[in-house]
Order: sequence, then C-alpha cells, then structure tokens
Amino acid sequence: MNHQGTKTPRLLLPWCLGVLVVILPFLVKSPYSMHLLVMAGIYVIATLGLYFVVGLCGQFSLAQGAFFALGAYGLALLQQKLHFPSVFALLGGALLAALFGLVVGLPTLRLRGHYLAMATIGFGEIVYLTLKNWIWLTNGPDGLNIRRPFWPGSVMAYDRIYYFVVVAVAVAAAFAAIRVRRSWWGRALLAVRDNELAASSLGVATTRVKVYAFMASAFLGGLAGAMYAQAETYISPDFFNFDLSIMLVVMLLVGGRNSVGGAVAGAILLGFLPEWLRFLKDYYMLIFGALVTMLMIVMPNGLAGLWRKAVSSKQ
Amino acid sequence: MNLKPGTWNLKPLLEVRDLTVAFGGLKALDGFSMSVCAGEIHALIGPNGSGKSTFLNAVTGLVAGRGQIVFNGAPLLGLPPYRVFRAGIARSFQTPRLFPSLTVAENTLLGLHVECARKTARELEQAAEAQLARTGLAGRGALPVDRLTAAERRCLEIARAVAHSPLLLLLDEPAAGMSAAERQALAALLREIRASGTAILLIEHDLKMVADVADCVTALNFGKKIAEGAPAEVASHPAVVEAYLGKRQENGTQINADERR
Repeated sequence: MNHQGTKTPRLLLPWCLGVLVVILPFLVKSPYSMHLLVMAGIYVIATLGLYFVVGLCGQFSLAQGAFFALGAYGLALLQQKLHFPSVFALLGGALLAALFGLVVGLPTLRLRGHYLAMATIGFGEIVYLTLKNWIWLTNGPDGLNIRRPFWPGSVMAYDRIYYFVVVAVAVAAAFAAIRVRRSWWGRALLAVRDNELAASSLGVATTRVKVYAFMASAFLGGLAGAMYAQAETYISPDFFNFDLSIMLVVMLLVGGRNSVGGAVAGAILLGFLPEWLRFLKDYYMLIFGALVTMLMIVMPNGLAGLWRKAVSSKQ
Repeated sequence: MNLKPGTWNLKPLLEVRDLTVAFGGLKALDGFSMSVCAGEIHALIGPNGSGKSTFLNAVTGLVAGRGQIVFNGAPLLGLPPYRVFRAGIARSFQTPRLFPSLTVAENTLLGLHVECARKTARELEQAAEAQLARTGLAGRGALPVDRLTAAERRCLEIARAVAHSPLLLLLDEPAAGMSAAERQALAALLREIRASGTAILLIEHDLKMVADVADCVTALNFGKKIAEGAPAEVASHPAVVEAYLGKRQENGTQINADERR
C-alpha cells in the first residue's frame, strides 16, 4: 500500500476545489454563465437540505420545491408588506419554510413508510396553486419583484458578489450536515432509517427526530429559495412547480444520498447538465431522463459511491 | 441480590395482570399474569406460538393489549416504545435488529442515546467501549455490523440494550444458533448483568440453559400460564412436559407438539 500516493491527492483535492470555486467567477465572461454558477450554489443548499430527510432519515420528500417557493415568497412578502431588512427577510423566509415543515411533518411522520412522499406531493401542489391563485397576496402568475440587498453597479458585478454569499452559505450548510451525521441526532436518524422499531426500543423518540430532520430540510430549502429570489430579483409561481422538487431529489440520488459530498456533487452536476445538453433542443428531456436512469443503474450509490469505490480500489 | 422464588417479600419490579392480546379472533395472550422481581433471572418458556414474543412486544409497547402492566410502581400499558425504554426496560429481538448503516461502536452508542444530552462525546464513547468489552466485543467497535458472526450480533444487541443500565432486560431467545461454548459465555454474561442490578426476563427454548441460569421459570402455552416455579419443578411439571413433548395417547405413541424437539 502506497501511503503517500493515497494520502496526498486526498489532501490536495479539497484545496484544488476550493481554489477553483474562488477563481471561477473571475474566469466566466457572460452574465448568463455567472448566473448559472449562482444557481448551482443555490441548488447545493437545497439538496443538502434533502440530505437530512432523504439521506439520513430515509424518507422521500417531494416538497423541497414547495419549501423553496415558501422561502422565496416569504422573503418577498416580508420585504414588501412588512418592510423587513434583507438579511432578516432572508432568515424569515427560511424559518417560514421550516414552520411549514413542522406542520406537514408532524402528522405524516408519525406513520411508518412512505406516507411522507405522498403527503409532500399534495403539499407541493397546494403551495403551487396557492401562489398562482391568491393574487391579493402573491400577485399570481405575474410574480413579484425583489429588492436587491445591495447594488454594486452591473448585474454581473452583483451576481459575482452574490455568488460568494451563496458559496459561504453552502459551505456552512455542508459542514453543518457533516457535523449532524456524526452527532447523536445523525446516529438516531440513521438508526430510525435502518430499523425504526429497534430505535424506538432504545429510547429514541422516532417521530421527534424525523420531524426535526424534515424541518432542517425545509429550512435549507427555504433558505435556498430566498437566496434564489435575491439572486434572480424576480419570482413567479411557474419556477416552483413539481419538476423542481423532482429535480432536487434526482440531484441528491445522482450524487449519492448517503453522503454530504454526494449531495454537493449531484447538485452541481445536474445544475449544469441542462446547459451542456442544450444543443439537443426538443429531445433534451428524453436524453436527460435516459442519462439519469442510466446513472442510477450503473451507480446506485451515486457519484459518492463511485468515488469511494475508486479510492478503495487504489489502496 | 439473588432472590429465589418464595422469598418475594419485595414488591415485584414488573407485574402483569390479566394481559390479553388478540390478533383478530386469535388470542395470542389470554388473561396472562406473571411478575418479575428485582435482581432475578426469570425464564419464560413455552412451545412455538405460545405467546412469548407477543408478551415481550406487549410489555415494550409494540402491540396493544388489554389488562394491567405495572413496572416499578407505574402503569406501563399504552406507553410508546421509547417511553418504555426510558422507564427502565430494554430488550433484544428474536432476530437481532441492528443498524447496518452504523458501526459496531455506533450501534452501542444508540443504547446511550437518552444520555447524549448529559454526557460529552468522549464520555459516551468510553461508555460504549466498556459495554463492548463487557460483552466480549472489545476492539470490534470500528467494524460494520455485517462483519460480525451471528453470536457476536446477539452479544452486540445485548451490549446496546444494557448500556443505559436498565432495571429490566428482556431477551428474546438470545442463545438461538449459538454453540455450546458461546452459550456458556452468554450464561456468564447474564449472571454478570444480574449482579450489576438488572433483572432479566429470558425467553429460551433450551431447558438446560434455563436450568443453568434462571432463578424462576414461567411456562406458557396457548397464551395462558401453565406452570411457574423453580426450574426443576417446572421442567417436570406434567402440563409442561405435555406442551413440549406432546400428549401420550391411548395406544402409547407420542404426538410431537413441537417439531424442533
């Protein structure tokens, strides 16, 4: 076993990635590419949220898009109707999503099995239709304009600065997720996922730990949505449809739902994939779907599983 | 510490009265009563399907039943499983229910879950390591669960269950599939757990093992108590012999009540 050969790249890799993340916004030329980078970071935050409930807890949530929407609209309405400063509106949006996480999670997570998946599909539709039709509050399909937290001049400059805000939040969320996995809470969640009866027979209040996970997931989804609103400066219900929820789950599954690194990698890969496949035009969804299906068959544990296999085979 | 039957001047730790558990029309337990005293190893025997596991499930809140269960002076029936554990009852399962996503050490740490708020990570790890050493799994902490042998898995399940020092430990056939040497080690472990102040209710098929470790035996058939007393008494009780070996018919042949015996 070559000790040096395996240790060095492992230490080197995070540094290289870190440098890449920092210099990337200065390498891209167009505002559009800059915007894509910001969106990738936002997807990372939302997907990390799903890691808590799908990865650690083993429950499928198809409402991450709805929490994303609640965060975005929460921020917009707190700013417009209650004149909250940007930072507080951002947190308020995320907390609003977490509150809805509690309301949806409490009744459904008491039950074992995939009730959460069903309940979240319904909840997602309710949120989407409410945003579209409650015109007095949400301005309906016309959407809402969002005030920027700061104005440095051009759109490109704004996105470039906002990119670093997003990256900082994403990194903090990733470290939080890693810490949670190693904590008593992460252990309890995995135990509940593996064998709920045995976990409850060891004093784990299973409903409580699951609801906390779902709330954490909704919080990060809402935070991502609120940041999306600030980055985009305009929101309308159409972006927050069922496809967004599906997309976020697929990001986590492609990355590997058992690892934080997988969640990050999956979100970045699928954040950019639509752009790389743009030349396919009408066939885009067909090829995209086939590609994702193939990835899941070839690597059921996602990119993270592939990475682990590669590292262990080298040793 | 070692209370023999007949010296029950203490209030029993666990007292079950007229417990009935029905699955549809089938009564898995039918007006069953028994009690377990502090500091004893109490064996519960009976042929397959006699209601032993159902009894453990009813006590630990996994199935609903009618009747009365009093533990340590407080009613227990109707509490969810995690509250039963917090009241002081830990259990193992007939087929070990370990957590394959977690390592051996992390599985043991789950047994200390309710202490997490009060102790540092280091204290918890040391406590878990001590439980592994106690059950003969020292040095296996970092392994994934699926690298353990069947007997080691049963020991890990016991380590996890006793980590929080329960007042009562319920074991569902812990010796199943173990070799003679492993059974002896298990018997020694059970005695050590009893000495540490945890009473044990043991479901066991092997009457030799029961005679070896139990202070008191209750025999169960068709959801009803058929005999209770010292191991030797119960083993020779006509109703128990009949339940285990089958009924002697007029022509002198025996019908096996339990295929495994």
